[in-house]
Amino acid sequence: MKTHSPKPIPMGSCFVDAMNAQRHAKLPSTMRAPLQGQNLWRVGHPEPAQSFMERRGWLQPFCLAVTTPEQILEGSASYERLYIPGEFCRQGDVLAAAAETGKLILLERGAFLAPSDIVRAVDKLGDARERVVLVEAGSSFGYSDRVLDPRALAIMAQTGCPIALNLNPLTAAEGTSYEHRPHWLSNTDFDAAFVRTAVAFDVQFLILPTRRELNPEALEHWMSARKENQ
Amino acid sequence: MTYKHSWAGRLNEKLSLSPKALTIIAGPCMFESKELGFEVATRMKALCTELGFNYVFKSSYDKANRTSGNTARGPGLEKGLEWLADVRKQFNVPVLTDVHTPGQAREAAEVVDIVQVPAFLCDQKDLLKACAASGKTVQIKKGQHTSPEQLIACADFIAAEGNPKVLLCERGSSFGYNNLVVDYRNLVLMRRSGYATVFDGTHAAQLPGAGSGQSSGLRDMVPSLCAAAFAVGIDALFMEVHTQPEKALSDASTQVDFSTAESILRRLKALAG
Repeated sequence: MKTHSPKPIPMGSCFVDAMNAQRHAKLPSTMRAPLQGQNLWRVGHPEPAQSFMERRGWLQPFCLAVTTPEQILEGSASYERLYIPGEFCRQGDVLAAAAETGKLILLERGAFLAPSDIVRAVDKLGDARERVVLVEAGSSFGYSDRVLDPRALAIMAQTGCPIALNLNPLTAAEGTSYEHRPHWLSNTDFDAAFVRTAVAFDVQFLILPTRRELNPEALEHWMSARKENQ
Repeated sequence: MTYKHSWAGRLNEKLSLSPKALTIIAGPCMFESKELGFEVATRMKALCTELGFNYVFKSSYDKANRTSGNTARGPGLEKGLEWLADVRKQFNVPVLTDVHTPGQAREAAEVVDIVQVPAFLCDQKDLLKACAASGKTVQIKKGQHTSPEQLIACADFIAAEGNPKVLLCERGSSFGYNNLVVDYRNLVLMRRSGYATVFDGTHAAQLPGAGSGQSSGLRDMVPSLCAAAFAVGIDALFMEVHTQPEKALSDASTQVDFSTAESILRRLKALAG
């Protein structure tokens, strides 16, 4: 497997999804403080979510989720970072357009993609691979469920790209209303386990849940690890 | 017979889905050349006519999400649509192709009878909306990571946009890394939903990414997968056919040759009784 040098991105930074900012405002101040300032970044969304946020004086989104070359062209004028969702991780035109912008690219591994195959998606980015953060968001494990395979973190790290763990898809209740979804199927109790795994495998970025508060124990563990890294 | 939302199953002005005649959607994975498309259309139309099946031609002008960036993608939108139009006119059959962006959906719909939403993109609402607005029949491939209920919800989304002409297509589900299995329960659920149901017999045999930079596959499983789907109950069978599959520029491990295609269709004919 080809490797290349790690990117000059600060260790231990946090991304916070746009729609979760209010949620985190409810956290105890002792927990909230480390998330303020430079560490409070958000995955952005196209209009109208963006204007919704701006009207409330929320912070500028950290990056923009993009799914077409046209969105990339338009979005790269305003955003320094682009987020390519897992479903698009192999779309040649999307990757080529993102590469041309010169922006930092967060590339999520599709739930259907073997971790070892992400290197081919990175290769499609050409020289832009020097500006890529690979995002782990879990692997498809039957219908409406994902698992975090720690091997994926290790395998993806072999590309030399920094790694982020996105807790959103891992803990989202996919298809909660579906008839065949077992009632016990929820990963929301496992925040701490996911975060501890991420820390153990040297994950450099954490993308936090959007629809609920993160388990305080998980957040505390992440912040503790950050301090030790500084 | 009508499908959900009272759709009669009409694919174009001359051909409709029918419980009396299985519809076969077949053609080369990539539209490598006009000659290849014409040869496959010639042979498959003749075979389907002989066996009493309906025939729809399929091919892709752009393999936009290949495993590796170092492999061929196809003739591109303009030339690909030109060739598809030629096939449609020459052979008087409906044609199908896949689209990856809302803009492509609008352009392709000018030529083809069925626009196909790729499996990875099956839940992308902007793409579904554009396909719905095209007014053409929309085939949605079930994502390898997607539950059947999610797929049916995508069909409901298209119908809610005012287009009830939807085909649901099963093509296998992720089963660990680099592997797919076909869950035949999905065909039951899809049919129960009231939408027309299609089985993709060649992609279901894929081993995604297992071929060192490209997808591998189990071509020898294709006939059995197709027969099982037919036995469970489908409205159409989708399969990729090539004059020389082992030399194909895409999906060389799963496309079938004419001999295998004929064997599959004769087996289905026998099963139909």
